[in-house]
Amino acid sequence: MTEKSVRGSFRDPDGFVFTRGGSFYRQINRSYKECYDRLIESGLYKRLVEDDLMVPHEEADPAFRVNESAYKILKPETVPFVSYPYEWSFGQMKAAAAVTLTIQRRALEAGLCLKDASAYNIQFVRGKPKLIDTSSFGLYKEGAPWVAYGQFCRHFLAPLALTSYTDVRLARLMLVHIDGIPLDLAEKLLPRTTKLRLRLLVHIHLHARSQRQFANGAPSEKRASASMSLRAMKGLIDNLASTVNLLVWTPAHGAWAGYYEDNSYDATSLGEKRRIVSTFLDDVTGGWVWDLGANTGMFGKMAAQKGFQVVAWDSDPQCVEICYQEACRENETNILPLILDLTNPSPSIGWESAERLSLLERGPADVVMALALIHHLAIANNVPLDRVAEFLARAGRRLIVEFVPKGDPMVEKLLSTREDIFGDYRRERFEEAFGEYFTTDRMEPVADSGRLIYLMSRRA
Amino acid sequence: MLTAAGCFSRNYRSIFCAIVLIAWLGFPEESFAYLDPGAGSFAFQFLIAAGMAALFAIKMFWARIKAYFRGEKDVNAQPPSKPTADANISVSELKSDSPASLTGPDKEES
Repeated sequence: MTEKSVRGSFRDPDGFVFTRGGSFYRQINRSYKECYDRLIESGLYKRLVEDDLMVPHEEADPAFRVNESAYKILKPETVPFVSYPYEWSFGQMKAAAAVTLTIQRRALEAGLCLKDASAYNIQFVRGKPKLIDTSSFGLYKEGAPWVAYGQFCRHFLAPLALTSYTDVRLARLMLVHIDGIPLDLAEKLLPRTTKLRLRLLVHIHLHARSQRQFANGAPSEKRASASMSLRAMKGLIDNLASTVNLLVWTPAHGAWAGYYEDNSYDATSLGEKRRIVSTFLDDVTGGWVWDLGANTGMFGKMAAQKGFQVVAWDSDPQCVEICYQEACRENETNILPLILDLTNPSPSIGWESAERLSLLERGPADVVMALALIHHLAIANNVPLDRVAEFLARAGRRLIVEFVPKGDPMVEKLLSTREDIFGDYRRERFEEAFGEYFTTDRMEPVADSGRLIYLMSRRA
Repeated sequence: MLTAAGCFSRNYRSIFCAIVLIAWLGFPEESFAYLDPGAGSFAFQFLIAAGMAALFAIKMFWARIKAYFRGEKDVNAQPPSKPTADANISVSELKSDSPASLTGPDKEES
């Protein structure tokens, strides 16, 4: 059986992730022996796993080692779906930040310290943000500052503060800056009034200033010999936790957040649509549903309640935040809401464009739901129907898709500000285009609305 | 041993540090970064260390006072609350568990 390295796991000299026989393994190198042993023997690992802060692992057969540097081979619990911080809503980012700080505080009590505070080390597993990187710990040396402080501020604090004080869209800067939003950029984008907030003044503005100060030279000997007590370290972590906790962003009633309340659906049509989608979901098997254009997750939640694992994608951060908050409140752990602009989906990024996977590289899903979506792609974004069908065939094996015809108030709204150059946008052409890639298993009209919902299977 | 006087002298020190830091904020300056920004993050923590320790000590001292008047014998005896996906709960756990540091092995800032 051959091992295959995971392209995004190469930076850490203490270990790396690889696949063997389709399963993920982590090699812990001998350089990490002391830290790993302390992580286990201090009980920290056990406590973090028990409290759902870290993914558990089993020690696997040492013969699985990739090279002679190996100390242990671990088989971590599989993360069902890997998401990235540029796809998270504000609440998800805040929860991930809080978990990172909680782990750092507990690590200190065990004589360890997080040497990485990368947002990419946190993954949502059944609704809970957990640390996935077992080799993120280093030995804590009294007097040393937190080596990951800058990274924490770039990966968590900057996007949270920019969302809270400037604009939610700026959190997408995480996509451009793979090691977090540079603090000097965050400083420029934040309103000047944030300098009056002591915590942001310190952790972003003054911190950015310090980074500029030392950009061309190492700290002086005097500073290099300075030390930071354990109490100061705990104070720093506590202060960062308060800073994160005090940042708020409330989704407004935006363009999409009130879609189902405000649009042309009457209660009967919506009820009928729910019934049809529910029936179609009962007809399909398999674990993963991608709800594309999920809005606040009405249909995604339906699938989640039926036992599917759902990723509810939407381009509107407000919808995604509402979906996440509702899922937390209702303890619905089968749904993972994420931000995605389907007209410009998450690309593969990082070194060799291979560190973080694109949307399609993380698929295909067992079922894709595209409800009230096609007209936005075909009319608002001029994507030909056959290209839409081709994309959806790459995204999933089964498809629940809604066709909204011309004459529907929502399509008329889209056409009201543009010339109708969409002669192909009609039922016959839709069925022809999708027929190239799918076979239709079932089709039902949504009562009196003119809309049609199809259950399709991808052609072999 | 943590005393109220100790806390407040630290508080003055942190206020002084804050004033110096605000003065230092000034106008942004351009530079060509050769070193990783981590060098600045490292040095910066030494600058704010005293302030962070002082604020933390005051907070813990205040938590003890409140615990005393609430009739809680030992705040450290509270079992930590179970963290959830909700950020606020995790952070509050971080705070509520923090008084343990008062009896821990950490040293007073010298």
